[in-house]
Amino acid sequence: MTGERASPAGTVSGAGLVIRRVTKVFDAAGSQAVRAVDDLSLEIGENEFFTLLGPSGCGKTTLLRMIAGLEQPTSGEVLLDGDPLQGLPPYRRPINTVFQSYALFPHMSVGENVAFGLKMRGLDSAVIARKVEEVLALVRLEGLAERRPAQLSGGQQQRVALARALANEPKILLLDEPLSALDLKLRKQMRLELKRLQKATGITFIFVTHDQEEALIMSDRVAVLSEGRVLQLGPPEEIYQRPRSRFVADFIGDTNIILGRPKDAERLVLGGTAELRFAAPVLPSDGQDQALSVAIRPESCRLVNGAAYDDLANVFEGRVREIEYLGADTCVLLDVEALGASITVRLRNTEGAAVPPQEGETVRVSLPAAALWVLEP
Amino acid sequence: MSETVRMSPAQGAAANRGARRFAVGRIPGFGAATWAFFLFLYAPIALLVVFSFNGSNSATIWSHFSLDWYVKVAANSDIQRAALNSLIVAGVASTLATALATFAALAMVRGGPFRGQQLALSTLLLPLIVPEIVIAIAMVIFFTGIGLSLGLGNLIIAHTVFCIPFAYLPIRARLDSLSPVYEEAAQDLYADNWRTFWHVTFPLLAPGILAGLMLAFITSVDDFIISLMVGSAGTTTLPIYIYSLIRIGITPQINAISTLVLLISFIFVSLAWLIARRSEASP
Repeated sequence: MTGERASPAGTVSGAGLVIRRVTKVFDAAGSQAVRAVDDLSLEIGENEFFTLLGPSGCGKTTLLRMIAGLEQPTSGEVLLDGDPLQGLPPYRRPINTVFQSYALFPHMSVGENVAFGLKMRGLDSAVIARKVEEVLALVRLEGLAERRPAQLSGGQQQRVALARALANEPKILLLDEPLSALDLKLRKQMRLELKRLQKATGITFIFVTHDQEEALIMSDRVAVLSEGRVLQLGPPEEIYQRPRSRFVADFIGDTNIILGRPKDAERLVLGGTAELRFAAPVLPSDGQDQALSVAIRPESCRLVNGAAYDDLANVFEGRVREIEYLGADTCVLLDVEALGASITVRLRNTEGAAVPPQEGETVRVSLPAAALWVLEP
Repeated sequence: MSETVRMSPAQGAAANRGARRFAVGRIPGFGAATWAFFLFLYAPIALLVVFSFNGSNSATIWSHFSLDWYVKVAANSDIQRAALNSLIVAGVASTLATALATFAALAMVRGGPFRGQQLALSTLLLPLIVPEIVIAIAMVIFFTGIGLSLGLGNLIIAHTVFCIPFAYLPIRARLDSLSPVYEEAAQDLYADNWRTFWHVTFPLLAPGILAGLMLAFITSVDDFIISLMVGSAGTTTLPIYIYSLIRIGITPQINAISTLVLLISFIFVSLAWLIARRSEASP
């Protein structure tokens, strides 16, 4: 885990987009300057679906706008295939953007919107016509070229915005929360559609979102941002299964967090005499008596009963405080005295699954050693 | 604030009911004042229009319906000259004023904050506040002082200057409601600054520009004081001609001209309003 930090997997030095120590400070007149992006470095490879994930105000949109050329970094540099983009206006960058509000030109038809970039680059009108048709087919909007954007549904407008950007065959496509204005069903459909388009075109997609589900579903790699910095970078599985910090763990999915002090490399002492065992010697045992946060996902916890499980490690007694029925799953919130913490257990509601306990009941919960990990302080 | 919080729900509801019952229409004399307003504003205009169709020579005693005065107006070469002057001055001045106002609005809204922005806006809109007679006298003195005597040219310069705020306001309003994201999208799609303006900003701004143009045009056509003071022999505009006719004696011919001017004003203002309203519907 420590090795991955220095060299993020999946990038090739030189090719693709390199963001090197970029800082962006907004000077607001009369108030404090805002450091939207703070000494941030990233490498994004070719043909990658890369997601910038973070809460609003984390700097992800500012970063995107600096890649597009709509904002200039206060310091640091952005390189594309080794060439600095510094000073290049947006219209000289082989990068196109799908804006959050789509920004379709209301006074132009769908076809004219899609043709706009090609026309500005001075392409032959026959070539433009063919390309427009081809791209509209790619986003499944054949036959709508004559319509005005206002005559289309939100989902269709979204596709026009995609087509307009993709028609230019950019090296990088920037997507600024493009799905946020769509309803849930359409959003789910468009996630797969975007993934398909990325694979079909081979263009690098840089996708900005605050929706962790979107990020996990579509991305090859995810960068979790907070306060203008990258907190964690990696493939979705790694981000979800092994969030490194408490912020990332909280931001992506639900997490149980337990506090304790290491006894040795494999055991954590909790409060009194209770111990939490790890599957491998992962605890820092340099002799320092340092408090640690340990995390486990609710779906990794198990409710156990009977003597058959007595030999399991990390079994604790807990009292059911709350039951939350979610349809496919049921969440059981336990107060576990030995852990000095509340533990949420997520149970699948499959056919023949054990009946969930009642509120107030005392149950036993097992925290499998292999599912535990240590959070950075 | 704290009183509101301490008010019980019942008290709050009572206050609400009271607020709903209050209406300015119930103030004693409000209805009468309204009727007086309508009477004194519209009755003279209605009479003016009615007597333009009067068959007799009187502007106050009705005899029979006739279009004679309109025929006379159409045949009057002085009126034609005055109308042409008005059209030339209003046409050129409103076009110039609208062009300048468009650039001013772009600089104010899209140019980003600059030093003295508030001052620039104030000076731009000052002609709306400064009494027209002051502007008129100042211009006469200024033009005489620098020895500028271009005939209609002087009038065009003067009209251009005082029409700018009238053109500016609708353009500014349109630009304020226009999200910069369209221009960003155009830039993102390989349009340089000039082509972004030409293909995106200008077409989206067009309804505001047109409304500004019409307002400036009608302001210029209707202007009297500045035209009177700055004008010289041969620059008589329609309002000045009408005024000179009144000094000779009121005949229904004045009614006919005034009705025509009223009609033109009405058409232009309606068009400006319609354009502004239609563009509100589409972003």
